[in-house]
Amino acid sequence: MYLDIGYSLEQIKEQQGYDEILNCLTSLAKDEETKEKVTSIINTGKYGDFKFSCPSHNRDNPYLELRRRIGMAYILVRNPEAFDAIVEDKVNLFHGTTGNALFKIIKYGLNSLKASEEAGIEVETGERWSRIEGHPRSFVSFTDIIDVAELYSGKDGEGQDDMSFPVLIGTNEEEAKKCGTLIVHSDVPEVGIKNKLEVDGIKLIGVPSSKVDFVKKAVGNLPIKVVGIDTHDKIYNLGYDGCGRINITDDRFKKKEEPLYDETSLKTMSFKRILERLKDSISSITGRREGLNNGQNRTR
Amino acid sequence: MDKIELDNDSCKEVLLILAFCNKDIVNNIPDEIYRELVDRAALSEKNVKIDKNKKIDEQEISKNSIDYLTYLFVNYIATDKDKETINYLFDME
Repeated sequence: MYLDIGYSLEQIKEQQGYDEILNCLTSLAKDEETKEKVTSIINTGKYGDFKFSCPSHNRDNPYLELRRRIGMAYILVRNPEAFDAIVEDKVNLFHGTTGNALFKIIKYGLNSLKASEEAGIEVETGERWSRIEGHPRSFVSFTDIIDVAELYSGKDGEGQDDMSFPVLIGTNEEEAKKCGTLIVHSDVPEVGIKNKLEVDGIKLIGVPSSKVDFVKKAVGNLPIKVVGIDTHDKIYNLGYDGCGRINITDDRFKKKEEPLYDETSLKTMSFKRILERLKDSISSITGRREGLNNGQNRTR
Repeated sequence: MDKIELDNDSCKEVLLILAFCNKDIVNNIPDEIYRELVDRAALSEKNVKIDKNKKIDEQEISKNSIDYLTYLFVNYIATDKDKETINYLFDME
């Protein structure tokens, strides 16, 4: 079943929260040109010839379509460079995960539980929750709604089992088609990529801006774009009970997350450790001397 | 410092601490070190937890990881003055 559902502007406009979210997003736009782009994204669901919805397996649901458009428009105003990268490679399929899973993904690609078991790789992505005894899932979940993918990225790690950092893996329909896709019965638009997505099929990795340099280093020469996506913060909260809102008065919106550690933090830790090692070394020498003295005492 | 033997879990711990460091620290460490650490971290199954309210040495990471981060600091981050102090400390030993 391949559906490519078109929505009328009226259908989108009648969704709860439409006016509020459009006003909010346009107020965040840095200039008139961006304002126009935002309005066009929200009203049409595409940018040029790049359509945000993945035509396969979609459902007729204008509310979900509005969420999909809001996700892209929010990236445009929050992280314009990330938006450009998304448009350039037509990235409209996202998989949310965390920093703990990143290194395996860079090395082995995104594996379904079945593919991982066959290759002897331990799964660290959300796919591990799909483990059913004897029936490992044979696909990797992607969605074309960014905030749905972000739900699986640990939302900055707070209160989650995985306290590292949120990661979005992005690919496009072309790469998905190469792997083969299947229908996933889910509450939200979900595309199953069969078996695995090779490293070559990953077009983009989105992480908080403060982690971009690090992830670029970790990715090395692989042809993957690493971009700052800061829409994972809790000020952006779209729920099923309405379109939610972007709280632009929140401090976290005004200021992007800063790195936690600087040279001084590393220096303090290092000197403390060096002194600890020296202390150990001195005590072992003193201990030997004491032992020697004790020995001498015993011979007297 | 003595040569530090890193296990796969420690490689992942070191990388995830570096993920929270500023870009100058990240960029001063040679690419080949990242390659080695990423290759080894990919084999780790540890779920590393970083508590944003804690200092580096208060995080739940191994002494091995702390030693390796110290090694990275001494070799790639420390200023000449830092190095002088470190040399002085080692001479004391």
